[in-house]
Amino acid sequence: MGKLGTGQRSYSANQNDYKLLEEVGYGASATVFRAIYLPFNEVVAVKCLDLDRCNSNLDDIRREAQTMSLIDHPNVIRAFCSFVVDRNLWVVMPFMAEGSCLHLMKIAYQDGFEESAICSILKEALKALEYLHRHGHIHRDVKAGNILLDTNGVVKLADFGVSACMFDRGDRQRSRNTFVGTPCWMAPEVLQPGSGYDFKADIWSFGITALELAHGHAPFSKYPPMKVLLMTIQNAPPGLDYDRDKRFSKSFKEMVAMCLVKDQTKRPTAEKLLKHSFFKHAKPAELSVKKLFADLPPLWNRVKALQVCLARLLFLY
Amino acid sequence: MSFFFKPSRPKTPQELVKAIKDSLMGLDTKTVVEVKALEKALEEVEKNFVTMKLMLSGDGEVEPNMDHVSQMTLEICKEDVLALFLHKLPIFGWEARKDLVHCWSILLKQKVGSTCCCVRYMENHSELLDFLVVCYDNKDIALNCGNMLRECIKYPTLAKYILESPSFELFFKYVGLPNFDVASDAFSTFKDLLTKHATAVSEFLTAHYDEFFEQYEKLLTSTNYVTRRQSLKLLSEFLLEPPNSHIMKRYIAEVRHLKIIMTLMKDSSKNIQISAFHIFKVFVANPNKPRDIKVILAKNHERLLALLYNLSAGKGADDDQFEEEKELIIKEIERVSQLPNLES
Repeated sequence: MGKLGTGQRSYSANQNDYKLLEEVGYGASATVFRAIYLPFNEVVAVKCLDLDRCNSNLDDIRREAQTMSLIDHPNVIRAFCSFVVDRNLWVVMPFMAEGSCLHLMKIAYQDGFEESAICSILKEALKALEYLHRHGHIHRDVKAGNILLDTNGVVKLADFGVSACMFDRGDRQRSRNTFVGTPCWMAPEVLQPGSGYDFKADIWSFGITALELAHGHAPFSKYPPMKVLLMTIQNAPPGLDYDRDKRFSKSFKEMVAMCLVKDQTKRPTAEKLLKHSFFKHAKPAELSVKKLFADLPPLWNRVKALQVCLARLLFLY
Repeated sequence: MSFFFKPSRPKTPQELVKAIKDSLMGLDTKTVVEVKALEKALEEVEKNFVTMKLMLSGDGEVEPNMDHVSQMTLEICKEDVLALFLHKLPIFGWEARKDLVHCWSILLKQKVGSTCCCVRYMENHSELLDFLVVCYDNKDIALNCGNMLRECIKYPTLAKYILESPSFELFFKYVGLPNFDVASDAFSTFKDLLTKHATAVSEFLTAHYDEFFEQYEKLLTSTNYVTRRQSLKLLSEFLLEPPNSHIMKRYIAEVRHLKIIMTLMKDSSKNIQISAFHIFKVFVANPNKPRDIKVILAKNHERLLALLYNLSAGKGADDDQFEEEKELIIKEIERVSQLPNLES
């Protein structure tokens, strides 16, 4: 009964059962810790979200928790459980020992990964998107920073900070017209007022993510947000057509070009895209992704090293 | 040799409902205790649910046949399959539950002639609504049942039933459950119950004023930050609805409520302080403040003024309005504190 087995192990909603260890990630209002779930003596990740910093209301966070609990796919990060500790929400998730793709690029692959690794990573992420879209969810924040890797090469899509449910009418519709996410990864129609958000916006972000993995950064990433917004709307879509992109195959370039079409109706669905020839020959992620971690120190040391680097940079200015 | 049993033609709605019913009845007590038999029976249910979903909502490319949808809806009610769905739901696998939730909302809104026959069915079998409510106690199915319950209470008759039912009281427990996803779902339902059907809510609050606010007080004074913050926000949402104005007038005339709101204005969370202010201002602005409300305001006026001076709306567009309101409230408190005849 494979499918029944998903709820097999249940994690308690008691903070004393978790021992927080090092910090492994941080964002505007959340910090992620490596932690031990004491009853199983198992390593997990605990995301601590400062709820008092989320102004207006908690509806979005409530919805995110509900959504995450109803999702079950090997390529989507699932919340084991979540509970309130003081003014924080603790979300217990599987620990992805190698962190995000963004993180890995910053530390060891500043100019991006090689094609076979990109292909495996993208294929796994696309399977996750296909599942989410099929169940009526829009991810709304697809980017290398939200693709997490485990030591065994498993790839999972994370963070539904801003995901919306397409089946719902009413209040959710409204929240779908608001400006959330990171401009570099946003589809042109999302940046323009009036037009709604649909799952094709995820496909654009997916294309941008492909460029990000190929180059080590998203196109326009060195510009300020307003400039990115204008460039996304006015310029021709970015692609893999620089000199340095000669190393990439024709089918990769073609796949990216299909995602980065300004007219969202002309973009393929996730389901269609999965059938593209680029993904036909994807190597199993266990092989091509695992290779990327060879000789790297463990994640928590890397986070510290990165923080030291950043601090040094700040000091220079 | 499965090709022998492959269906040669698509099932009619009647046949499909019969197949669904048979497969659900197959989940009897004898089957459920036997791993292999249960697995097989569940597979059958799952297969039928996929077909049902296809018939009710199409596959994304082909639109559903509305005649089939109507026939199916009628048949499901006639054969008591709606009740079976709920009673067997705890046994289903993950995907079957999700498929059922998906179909549930379509079935409920289906009109045959002029009536929604599934809504009618639920009205006549209201114990099923209570069943859905108590499912919040079962973590594994709480969210599925919560979704189905919220679909039900979109219909005023069903919402009214739950408000009046003894199981409504359970929500005060569920919204504070330790698991955030379950508590959140329960809160969404609780909020819908108190905000979606204004007249039903107003009637309910009028008839059960004392019990309701006694329970609600526990939410406002909960040790759980989220419970406090959400219940406070919700309070202002339904209290300030025009059909509830008589409830609001009664509420703001009572000292015990004022005391709770004043405590919340001192909460360590800024968000809670501000939400509390938006209710507190109604107590103060009330032109017909009872004497004991005035006494409390006068007695505490120094601390209140200090608190108000320190309160700012933070970043936001309604900053000016907030400051303006604050100033009015401060003036009114000062005025009340100087009234001569409050000492006694």
